Amino acid sequence: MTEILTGAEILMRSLKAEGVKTIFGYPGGAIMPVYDALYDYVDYPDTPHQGTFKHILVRHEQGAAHAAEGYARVSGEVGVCLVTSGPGATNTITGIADAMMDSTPIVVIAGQVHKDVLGSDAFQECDLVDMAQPISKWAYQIRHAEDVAWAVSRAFYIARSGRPGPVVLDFTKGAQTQKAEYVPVKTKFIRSYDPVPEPDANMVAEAARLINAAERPLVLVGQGVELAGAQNELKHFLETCGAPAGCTLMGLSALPSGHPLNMGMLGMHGNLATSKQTQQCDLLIAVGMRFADRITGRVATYAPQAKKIHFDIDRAEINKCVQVDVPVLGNCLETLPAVTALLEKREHKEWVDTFRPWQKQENEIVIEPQVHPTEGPLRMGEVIRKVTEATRDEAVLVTDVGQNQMMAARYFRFSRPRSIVTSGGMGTMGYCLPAAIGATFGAPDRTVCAIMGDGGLQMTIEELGTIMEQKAPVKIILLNNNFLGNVRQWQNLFFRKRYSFTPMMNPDYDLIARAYDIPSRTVTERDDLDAAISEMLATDGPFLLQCAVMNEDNVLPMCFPGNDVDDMVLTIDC
Amino acid sequence: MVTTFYTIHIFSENIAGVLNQVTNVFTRRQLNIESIDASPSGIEGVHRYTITCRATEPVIDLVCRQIEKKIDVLIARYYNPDERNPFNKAFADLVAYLEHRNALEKLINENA
Repeated sequence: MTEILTGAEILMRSLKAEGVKTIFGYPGGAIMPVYDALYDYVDYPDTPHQGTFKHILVRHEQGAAHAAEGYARVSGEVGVCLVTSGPGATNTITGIADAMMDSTPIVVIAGQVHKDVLGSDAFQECDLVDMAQPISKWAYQIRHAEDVAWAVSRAFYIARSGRPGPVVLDFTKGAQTQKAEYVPVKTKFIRSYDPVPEPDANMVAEAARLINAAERPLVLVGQGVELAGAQNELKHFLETCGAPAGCTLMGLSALPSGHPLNMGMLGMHGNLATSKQTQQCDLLIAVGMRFADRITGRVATYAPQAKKIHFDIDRAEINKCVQVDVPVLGNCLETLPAVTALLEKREHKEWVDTFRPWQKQENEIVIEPQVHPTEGPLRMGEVIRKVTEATRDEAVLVTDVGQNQMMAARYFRFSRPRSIVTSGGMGTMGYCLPAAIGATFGAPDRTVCAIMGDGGLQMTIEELGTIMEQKAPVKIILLNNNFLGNVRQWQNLFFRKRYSFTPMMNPDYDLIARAYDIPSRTVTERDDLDAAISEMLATDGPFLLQCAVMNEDNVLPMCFPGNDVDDMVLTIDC
Repeated sequence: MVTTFYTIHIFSENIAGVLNQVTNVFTRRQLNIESIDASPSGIEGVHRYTITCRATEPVIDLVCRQIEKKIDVLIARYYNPDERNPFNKAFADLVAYLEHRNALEKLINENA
């Protein structure tokens, strides 16, 4: 039976057909017809399609974009964000760029002025498609109602397939109100888009040959394993070849923290052992990671002694930063088992044991003083370690950016996949609070711990209003040092402690929390920490736990920019 | 660093805005486009662009793979100045690509 619907109504039907359940958004003039159609699909009483979607009204469109990201990262589904034209659309640009850099599947639907006034500098008009093209997988302007179903279907297919990423739909107001026949569309193929390369059997065989012959293999685990859902395949691969592994920031929960072959985090603030032994291995096996500069340090001296295998779904990542010997293109959900099937069962006990002295050294000099201090102010590491212990390493960790992020990545522990939500490539301050909101909707059965600094909280503090309204059970752990900590650390190291605009005056966060009807507690003494964390976790709904941490603490170890990957500093003279 | 004057042949779906996306790949890397030409390819619905640019081979290889990531781009191929009939080679690659993709689409539709 033919249905003649408005473009806005077709959008609702199309989103439902894509399995969308949650939308993060903020209304405005150019998207009002869509919001009127949405009225019949949410929880307002006596509406024809009541309860189809949950719409979360945020307090800033940037919050909507980051919330969609957080939702996507924990659930594996496409996050959806709905905003108006002009400033509403431009407020999502940071989130779109962030999603592109971190391969997060989101669809941003923005209102746009009527097609007849495009280019006339109409009220709240901006050229979103041209702004978003370089930072999205696809950006398309819908000008006719009959194109809506096709565009939405194509958008979701592109966002979730291959290497996931953001897609932008710019929805002109006329197309929202125009009527057209609703013809459902399901995109399964785009002639010019080949999202998953066919694995090359020769490369698979060559990779297996190198792995079987290696005496000191090291596996670099990235977010690609999580995106593919290949955590079990990775474990089987590692346990077959007996190779130790290090995880990138984005791939930290791809392998459980307690797995015997998990040697720790890679990168600038990663663990000492993984950095040192990168320069001692004879075979590097990169799985779903892109050799980011934070991982490699000085590229010219990065593991020159080792042969390199690179498992990746994106052809453009091969040899982009580091030249590799064997590229294994394809989805690692298929390529890992294909290689594993050709592997001999090995153990590299002696090689794995070479990691232990570095681990011991780092534990004595860096970790123990940070996690189990006996005197002085609270340390970031001890707070984070107590939170993860209290949640039995099962919580979702959402971080902001900076020292809070690096400390959380180092001292939180992971036992389940899709447990870290952080802005890795773009390093967007203010990411944490809205992303954590999204995570509570994407993983409603899990505890979501949002660890942030005073700088990052203030960047998107308006989203406390969203938490209040939704009663989103975000456990906010605010590591307040009254500084922009990471910048201060770099000023300490490289700018002769000239703290140019890094000390920060903070408001009374307990008062702010009370104004938003969010329970809170501030901890200044070590003895109060356990009880405060217990109170936070026992409280139904949101909670703000502010911890007054050491003002001038440093994240260590650290590989200074431009240094070789194994040139890690364990102490800094302040 | 030795640079070479490369010719890049790109084929895409005939959709407005693709040329802008392609040139952005060059400008992002501060690569100067020496010349650019765009026209129908001879295959219905498929447009072609020819761009010349001076760069090293690793850079131009990466640029072509980044161009191919644009959703509406079919293939991008680069050729050094010694190559004979580069357009014919690129066109042959295009025809093979389209045959492969059309066969795959048929298979997907049959399985559906």
